[in-house]
Amino acid sequence: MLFNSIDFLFFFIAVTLLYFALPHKYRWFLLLTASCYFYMAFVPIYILILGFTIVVDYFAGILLENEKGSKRKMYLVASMVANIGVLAIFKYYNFFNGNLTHLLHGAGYQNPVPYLSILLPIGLSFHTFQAMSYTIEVYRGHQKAERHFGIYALYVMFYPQLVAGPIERPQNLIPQLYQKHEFNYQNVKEGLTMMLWGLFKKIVIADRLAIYVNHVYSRYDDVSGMTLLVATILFSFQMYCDFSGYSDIAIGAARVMGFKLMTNFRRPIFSKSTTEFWQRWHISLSSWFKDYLYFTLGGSRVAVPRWYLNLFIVFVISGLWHGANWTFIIWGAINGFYVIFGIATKNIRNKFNHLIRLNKLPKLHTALQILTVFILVALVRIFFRSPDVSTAIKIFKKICSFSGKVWYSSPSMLAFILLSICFLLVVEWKAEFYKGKISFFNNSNGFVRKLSYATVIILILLMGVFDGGQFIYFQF
Amino acid sequence: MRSKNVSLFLKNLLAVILLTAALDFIIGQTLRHFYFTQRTGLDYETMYAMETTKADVLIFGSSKGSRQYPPGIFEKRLGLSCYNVSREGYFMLYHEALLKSILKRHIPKVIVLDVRDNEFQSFKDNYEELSVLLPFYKTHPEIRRIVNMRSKYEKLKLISSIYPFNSMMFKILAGNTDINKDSRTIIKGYQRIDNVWNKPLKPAPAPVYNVDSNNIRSYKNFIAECIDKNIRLIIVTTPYLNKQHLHSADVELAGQVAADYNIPFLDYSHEQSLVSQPQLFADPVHLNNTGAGILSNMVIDSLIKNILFQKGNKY
Repeated sequence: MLFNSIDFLFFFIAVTLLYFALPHKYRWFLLLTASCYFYMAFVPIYILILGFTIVVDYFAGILLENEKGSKRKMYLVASMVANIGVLAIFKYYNFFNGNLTHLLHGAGYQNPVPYLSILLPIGLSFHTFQAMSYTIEVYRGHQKAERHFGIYALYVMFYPQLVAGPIERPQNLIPQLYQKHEFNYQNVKEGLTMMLWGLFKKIVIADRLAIYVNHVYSRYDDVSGMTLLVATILFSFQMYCDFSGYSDIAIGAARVMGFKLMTNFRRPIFSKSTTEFWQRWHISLSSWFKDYLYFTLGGSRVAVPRWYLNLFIVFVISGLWHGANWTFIIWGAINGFYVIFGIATKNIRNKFNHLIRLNKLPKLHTALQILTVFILVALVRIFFRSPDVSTAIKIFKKICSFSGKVWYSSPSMLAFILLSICFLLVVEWKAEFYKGKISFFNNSNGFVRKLSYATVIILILLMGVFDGGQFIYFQF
Repeated sequence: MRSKNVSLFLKNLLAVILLTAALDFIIGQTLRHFYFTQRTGLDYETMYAMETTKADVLIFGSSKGSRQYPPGIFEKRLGLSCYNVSREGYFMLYHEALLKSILKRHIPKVIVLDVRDNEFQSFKDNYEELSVLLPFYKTHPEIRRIVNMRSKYEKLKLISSIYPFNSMMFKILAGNTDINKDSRTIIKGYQRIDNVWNKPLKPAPAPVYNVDSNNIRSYKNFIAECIDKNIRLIIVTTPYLNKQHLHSADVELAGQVAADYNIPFLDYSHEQSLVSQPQLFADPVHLNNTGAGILSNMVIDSLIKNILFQKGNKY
């Protein structure tokens, strides 16, 4: 069930009304049932996979808490193997097998290992990582093992963030599942506002840009380098609005019921360095990797070369998390290189800025930093968007030629693209630099507040792409 | 406290709903007004086809239809008025809806239906693109069954006055201000293209796809409507420069259905006098104006020979 569907609207209204109508002791059951229904609306059979990891991690948590010494480690490893094993089979098996085939073929051998004909369960990487964070936190002693099976299952399956995050931590979500949430006007208002803005970002901006981007990328051989450059830049906006739009709807839907999920995006468009970008983009995943992989590898408290290696490893694995394809691994590796390069050259760049007196012009300096990070991030997303490495390289080469005119099918298409990006930039700009200064949804005048909501709904009706597809991050 | 919260929320929600409904109505009616005052553009062509044309010969089709049948040739040779109601990117479901709307007020003498080689392909866009018919949903009940196929909530969405004009505001503006008047040469619905294809053909296998039974049903309905109204119908499949792209199965099926209804079916998909001459093509799929003239004369020859001047036929 997609967040941008009318089915979801009915589902959300029904679940929310029932949630507040039911006595507190039955609410977990309602949310768990609703979450199962929500997940099974995609491919029903895959709930069994989810069920498997829930059962394994539930018992692993209890065993981890009850045991001491080396057995604890054994249970943690067993839980990790089960979780990563599911990912390995459903997400990575054919990828690694394909690479094995290439290797053996190069050596003159046939690969006897068969390929699997399976669909990737929707949101597998998201809920697997959420389940893994639970067992790791129990192992580390930061979280008590959950004894209530229904509550634990709900922690993994809570429908707003089940298929595309935010990837929650048990310390934040599990206690909230026990709390009694009364109908709270402020929560409901904030939640609905987030959902409305998320919907706007998805169907007015992301799906509009997707029409152009999909058209250009599917004909990359026939379009000009300038057209590909424009499509690549637009893809950056599309990806942001698609994913952050989803997150806004997820966080908003939870907030209406009184749950506070973690922030997933903090206006990454305005990042001044690639390091800052990853502190603003997909925060729940970045922080997951920081907490459970980067720190485990030693983080920055090691020799400098090892620190850089740690960063690089994290980014490569983050790339692999996104998809079983070399394009994602390269995407991750280049992002890792950006971050390492940024850290390694920070002093030199600061000295250079002093030399050319850029530090005397802080606004220009900031603008140049933001623009540089945006372009760097947008260009590497060619790998993210391309079906394979050779296509990505061809597109990159073509862009570097800066050849030809920019294609667009009609002035209407161009106008919609420009208008939608303007909306985004104005809203983000205001939130970043003028927070609290001009407010529409929280205006002191009640009519302005109501008119703001009505205007967003009208803009969705006027400019929304109602037949747009699913969210980009569902595939992960 | 809780009931106070709930009543405050319901009061504000109701106010937002009323304000939205009022804005929706005002903006929707404004868009409706200006949609129907357009004088250029593809939407205007559809509007003219649905609500105005009274031509004796109508040509139905997608881009191959709109670019390959100049009405002037039909008018000159047949002595009948002709209009090309084809629309680029629109297929069998659209043709059926358009035919139903036209037949409500006018019965043409002859209809030429251009069928693509993949006319029956199951393709999500076929349904999405029916959105061009949404402005007519209110006033043309005969198209509602087809428009409702877009989605299971189409009726619900159409409560909004703006929704039928979703994503159309700039097109409506252009249609009313002649901004794009000269961007394409459209003569009585015919899009004239003069360029000549001079690039090498890329080898590409025909994609495998599923057939959508709704498209076949619409094709049959289209034929049945014409028979019912005693309209002379001729169905044509036109050539592709790159025959690798050709889906022969759909052409065969279209021909078989036409034969079942005893309707002439002209299969020019392999017509040597056309496919062997790249200079007659604007691109691998569409003939240019010269090619369109040759094809149209072939269709007219067949019309004259097989339908119009057969014993007992009058027009």
